[in-house]
Amino acid sequence: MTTSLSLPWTVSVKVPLVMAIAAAVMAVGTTWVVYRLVDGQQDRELAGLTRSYLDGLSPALADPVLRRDVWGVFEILDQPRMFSAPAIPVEVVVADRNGEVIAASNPPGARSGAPLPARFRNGEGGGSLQTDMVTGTALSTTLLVTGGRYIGSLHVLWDITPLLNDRQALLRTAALWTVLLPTIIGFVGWLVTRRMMRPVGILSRHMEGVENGLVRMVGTELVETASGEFARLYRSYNAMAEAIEARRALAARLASEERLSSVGRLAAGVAHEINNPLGGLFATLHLLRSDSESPAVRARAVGLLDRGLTGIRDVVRALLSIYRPERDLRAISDADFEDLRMLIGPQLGNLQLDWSVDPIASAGAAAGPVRQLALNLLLNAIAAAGENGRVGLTVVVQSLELLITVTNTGPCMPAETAAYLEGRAHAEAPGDGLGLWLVRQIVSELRASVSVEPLGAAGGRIVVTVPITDTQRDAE
Amino acid sequence: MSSRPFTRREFLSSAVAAMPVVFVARAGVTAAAGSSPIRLGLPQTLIAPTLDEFGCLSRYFEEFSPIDIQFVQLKTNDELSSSLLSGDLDLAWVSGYALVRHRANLAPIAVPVWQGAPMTRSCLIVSAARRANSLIDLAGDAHALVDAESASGFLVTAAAVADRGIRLNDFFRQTFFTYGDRNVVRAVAAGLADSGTCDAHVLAILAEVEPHLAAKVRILESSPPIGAPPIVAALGALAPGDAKTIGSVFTEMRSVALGEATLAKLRLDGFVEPAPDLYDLLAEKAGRLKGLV
Repeated sequence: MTTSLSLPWTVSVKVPLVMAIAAAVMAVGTTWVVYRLVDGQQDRELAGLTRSYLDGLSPALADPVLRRDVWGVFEILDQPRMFSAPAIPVEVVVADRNGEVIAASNPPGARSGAPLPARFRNGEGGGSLQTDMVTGTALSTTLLVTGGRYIGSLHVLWDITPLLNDRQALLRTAALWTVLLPTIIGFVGWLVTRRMMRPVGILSRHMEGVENGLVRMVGTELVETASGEFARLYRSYNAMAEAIEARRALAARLASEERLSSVGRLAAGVAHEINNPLGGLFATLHLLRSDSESPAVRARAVGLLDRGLTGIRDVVRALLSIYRPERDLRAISDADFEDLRMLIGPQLGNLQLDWSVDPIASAGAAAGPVRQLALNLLLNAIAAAGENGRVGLTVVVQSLELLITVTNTGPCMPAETAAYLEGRAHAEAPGDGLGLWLVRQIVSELRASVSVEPLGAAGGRIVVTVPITDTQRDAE
Repeated sequence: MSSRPFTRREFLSSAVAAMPVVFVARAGVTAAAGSSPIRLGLPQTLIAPTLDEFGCLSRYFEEFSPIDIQFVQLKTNDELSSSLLSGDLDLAWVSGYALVRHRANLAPIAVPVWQGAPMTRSCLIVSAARRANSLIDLAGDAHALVDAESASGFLVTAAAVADRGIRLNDFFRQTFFTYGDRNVVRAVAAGLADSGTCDAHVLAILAEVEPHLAAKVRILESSPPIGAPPIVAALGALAPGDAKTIGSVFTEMRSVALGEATLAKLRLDGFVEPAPDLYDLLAEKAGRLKGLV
């Protein structure tokens, strides 16, 4: 039930979370595709740019390279060129066919007459383009050929940081949206889902109330303002709540009737219990009428009257406790079980009674429900024990539990009935009687547990474990 | 030349009648009438591209030369002297070294005056931050020169190295020509050359008009005064009168405002007729190179 009660919260988080994750996956995927496209486009753009630059320089360089004219080469390289492209040539070097520098646009970086510096060698011959993302540079190289003869090489080092910056900017923007978009979608989704799931939440809380025994109706205003489906759900719930309430009222009335029934069943025995002292009382009256002046007789008569009336009072008190258990919230004691013993005495007939009740100082369990529970179990046991059978009651206090064990000879309790008593089956109480139903109700009320143990030919045993809680102690 | 407007003749004969050069020029006009224009060769880069020296010279000659002059720009001193010798040019502004080398075929008609004398100097320059004290510290350098017939941009340094009995290309790791004094400065300033040889006159002008460039170099050594680059005529190319007339147009440049403006552009005091011994020092230095360059 706990899972179902948390459904609205879970859904209102899970749905937006899934939406946010989906949005993030889409954003990352889109970013990757766009990045690859931009990457390819920039590579092509850079290749075209460098190629056209090299092609533009090469023809002019042929003559000075052939003559190894240092100044002639330098003057060509030193021409200012306007570049607003994503790549800017930062160093240009011309080498002769032996790999010696003729001139460079930045002479200190490549001395004339010295071997071509390593950073201008790409190892792949002419016409290639190599990019270095770490330094933000690219190297393009072409061979200088005139009349079919290789005369030297042209090497251009490009600053491609503007191009890389564009890529970085793209990635930054994509990363921002990868975070922002799912966050927005998730938040909006949470708001929408929360609003959509609100009726479910209301129903959930009401159902939780039902679980805890508090049946509340969904307000009329909510029912009227809800959309079609939820309005139907609200109405269905309200109908169910009304049915539960009706059933509960019926059960309460039946419980009351069951108590009356128990009292009725006990009445004959009680009448017998009262009748016995009444005979003594009348005999005492007769004695007093005959010799009222004798102090000895009067003292004996008073004693007889006291004992007889006390017996009657105890029987009546025990019967009243059974009839109105809700008024008896004190803690159970061994005296209560003695009352039960007295009450069932007339019902025993030829049955033998095994009775063992530990002294109970303060068990911390409400006396009324426990007495009612034990009495019903005992009456059931007496009914089931058959002629000349045995019935037993054992009460033991173990740390925070009160163990009440009722045994009887005779046929064992049917499995269906046992399952109902143990709370394993939630169906209606088996049989016509309300006794077991009442036991089950009291067990729930006391948050106790029941164990039915068949003893084969020896009959059966029912063990009720009643927790001794702080609440019950407080009730004490 | 024969289609010169009348108003200009009037101007020449009235407003500037007192100028001897103009009268000579007018006589020259008469003498040269009907002939093709005289071709005057100039180096491609005289001083600096920003100065518009050629424009000034052209305007001055158009205005005041009685002889039609056609300016021709060539890249190197060698090309200028070769063109003079082959007859492609009649006149040229060449290096003193070119004159010395082809003395038998060339005759100076005018020489520029800078700082009061028709002289210039050759400068050894290095980058401003370099520690070096003399030519000997430059051994093993990549060295920038003007061209092979430049006196201040080649001959002086080559002769100084030759004085040590070493060939220029053995003394320096690498030498190359830049075909302009300003280019030598650029090469050293950019680090293309470790040192260079250029003309003191051009260097002084660069310090004024391109201080950011001049500031990147410093003068390591300056040579003794040498004859400034002369205006030379190929012997036999011009009638004696024409050579004298054109020489006068140069030497009288200071006497008119446009001429003064042209001289101011060139940072020159004027032009004079060259003394016969002006280039003796260069001839002596050129002699030292024989067998070594």
